Amino acid sequence: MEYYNTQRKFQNALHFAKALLRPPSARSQQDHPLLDFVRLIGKGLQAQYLPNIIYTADRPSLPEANFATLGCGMSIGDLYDCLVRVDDTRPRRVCKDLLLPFPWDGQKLMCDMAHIGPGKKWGDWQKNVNHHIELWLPLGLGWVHSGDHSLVVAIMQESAQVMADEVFHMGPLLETYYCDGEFYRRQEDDSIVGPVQCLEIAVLFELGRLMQENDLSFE
Amino acid sequence: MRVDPSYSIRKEFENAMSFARKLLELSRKTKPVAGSEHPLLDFVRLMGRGLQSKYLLRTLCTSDEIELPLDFSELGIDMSVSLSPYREVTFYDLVEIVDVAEQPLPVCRDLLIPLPWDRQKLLKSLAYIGDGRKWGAWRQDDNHDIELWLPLGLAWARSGDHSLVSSLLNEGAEITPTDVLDISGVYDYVFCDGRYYRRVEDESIITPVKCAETAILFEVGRLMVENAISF
Repeated sequence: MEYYNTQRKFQNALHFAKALLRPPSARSQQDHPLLDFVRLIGKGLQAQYLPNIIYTADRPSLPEANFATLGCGMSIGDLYDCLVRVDDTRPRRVCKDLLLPFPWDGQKLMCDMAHIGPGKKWGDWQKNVNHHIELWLPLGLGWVHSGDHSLVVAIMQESAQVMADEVFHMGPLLETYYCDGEFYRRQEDDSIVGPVQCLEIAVLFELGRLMQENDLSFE
Repeated sequence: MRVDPSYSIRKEFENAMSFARKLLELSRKTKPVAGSEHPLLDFVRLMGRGLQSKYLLRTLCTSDEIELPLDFSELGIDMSVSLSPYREVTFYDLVEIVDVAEQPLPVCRDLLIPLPWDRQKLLKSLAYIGDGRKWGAWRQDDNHDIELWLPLGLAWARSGDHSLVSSLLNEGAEITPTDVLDISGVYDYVFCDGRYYRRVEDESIITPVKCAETAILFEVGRLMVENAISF
């Protein structure tokens, strides 16, 4: 049942987010409620991606989980021109509500669910060379390049901590483009880059801007 | 999001049930160490997260709060209709209250389903509840009324829906149910084929399936009863 179009939903969600910025309630930036809102939207997106292969059996029915596909439909080259690599060496934890693995093989997912975990055959989930995660700041979104299946188990296992392999800042991306809920557009002339493919990603994109403007970031 | 339209709710239901059955078989073969969680519980949690987020996002993205579901009656089986064609038996006639006074069962956060319907209330909960915020960290109080279903572990918020959303984000939050109900008895009267919930006795239709996650969770509950798995 769809009572609203995507743009209306986008506007409603951002309206809600902006209302959260009003009360000066949080003691520190890390306690800011906007971060919780970002996590809720992240959880919503994750809830669609994690079980997708369970519903479809043979092949996933969602678009690939990367910003080039889910966002404005730009090329990978253009995208990375708009991201700044954060090169500090300190390890950064990825918020598990914002981690986006996309299991594409039902058998693999089933094996990992049956075998990974406390007391199971392969033991607790541990990060290994198979996992490759790219973290985007300030949003905190963790894109998964490999290890998608076992990361589902990591998300379910409370004790598992997931660290990022690469960290990028979205600054230039947010300066170059914006989203109005229907299209991604260029800031300089409002020309259209591409339509919104995914409501949650569009909301998250603009939440990234709100976070930057208000000096908030997932550390 | 543009989703491949070739899967109906029924097909999704069938695929998910076949996944759950195979997972059950696989874990039977591998014989997990005693005390470890059954993998089927992880499957249930995955489905629970889907259900939880679906309706939460709906509230976050709506403008006028119409048509938001408020309870299981609107997502699954109507609690007021008879589940037998021959006599009057409703859902709550078939559940048993579990006495857990000695050892309160914790609610699994992935399976707690608050259905917030008021955006202003939700806004206040998110803005004020939490470490370092005006009302402090989330704490369970008298306003929270939660009904936990066994063996599924699914927990429905009967009141306090809005502040319970904050508890979902608080990793350390311990949530205890008000009532614990064993719904095993319902499975003798109702089954779901992915399109309809039907009466076991004459296969008549109780209600159409509106929400895939709820239907899958309901039938996985039967697998749990049959295999003596419980949260």
